[in-house]
Amino acid sequence: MRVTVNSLDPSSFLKAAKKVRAYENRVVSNNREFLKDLALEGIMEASARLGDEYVAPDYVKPQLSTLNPHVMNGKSKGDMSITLRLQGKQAVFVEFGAGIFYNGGKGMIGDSPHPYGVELGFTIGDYGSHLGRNETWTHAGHVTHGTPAAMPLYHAGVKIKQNARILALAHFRSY
Amino acid sequence: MAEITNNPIIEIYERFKTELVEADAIPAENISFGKSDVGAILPWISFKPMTNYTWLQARDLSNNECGIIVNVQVECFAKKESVAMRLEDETKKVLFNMGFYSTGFAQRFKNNEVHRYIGRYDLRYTGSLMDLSET
Repeated sequence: MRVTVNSLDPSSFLKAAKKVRAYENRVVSNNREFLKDLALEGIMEASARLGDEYVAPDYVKPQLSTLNPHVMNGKSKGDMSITLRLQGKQAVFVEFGAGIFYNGGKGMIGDSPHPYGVELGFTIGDYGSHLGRNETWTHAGHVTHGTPAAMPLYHAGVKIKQNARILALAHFRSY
Repeated sequence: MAEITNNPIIEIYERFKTELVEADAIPAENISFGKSDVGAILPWISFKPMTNYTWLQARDLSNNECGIIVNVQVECFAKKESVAMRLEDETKKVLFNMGFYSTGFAQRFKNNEVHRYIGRYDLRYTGSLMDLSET
């Protein structure tokens, strides 16, 4: 973008202002599309990790969704966020894993196969009444072995980070 | 600024700034002044100030939810000098942040009843600044 203002031409000020405004609108629009594409990368990766090979058959698979790109309160239009969500009554178990059976045995008690598990306090065998320290336990009337740490969102995040620069260039290089 | 109000260059810049704001092209707070090496006062126009990544505050989270918040801040600012002012792109930068959060329930037994409560959640941002003008 190039904007020129001629001090001898009063109308050039308004023209320049309009040009800047159009430029900003284009930046905001590109940013919105950029975020949607980032989210799509994440959703595709996370979806693949909610398949039967990643989630124990007795666990309810959580739902993946995204919120639309949005400007956080008090932020400028050029500052937008998008949220990927994994929701469901067993979402946390599917993300971080539950029980030692699928998650590395007794040596993993208090630890986590998930890179954020220890930091966030979701470690193997430490939920609730610590039943996950056993190979099996009874939950809601049935015997369970727990579920592997499928980490759909963690891997979605890795994928998004890997592709962020390429996508940013695609959306912003030409303007 | 009182001592330089009669400077014609300043008047041009002030007028341009006023037009930008009145045209709703850019917020007034994003226009500031600096000095060039030729001594003129220059407008510095920015769509937004780049900010460091921060921890997000607690949000309304449902139980048993994990999520990622991807935050992108785009900065495009222009700065140029001359009496007949010319503005050009100077940088193209994208600040890319990503946070991971999680809520969960834990169970505790009290008087033989199960009490649920929201477990720990956290949101951590990792940020990186991508300068798209480099490639």
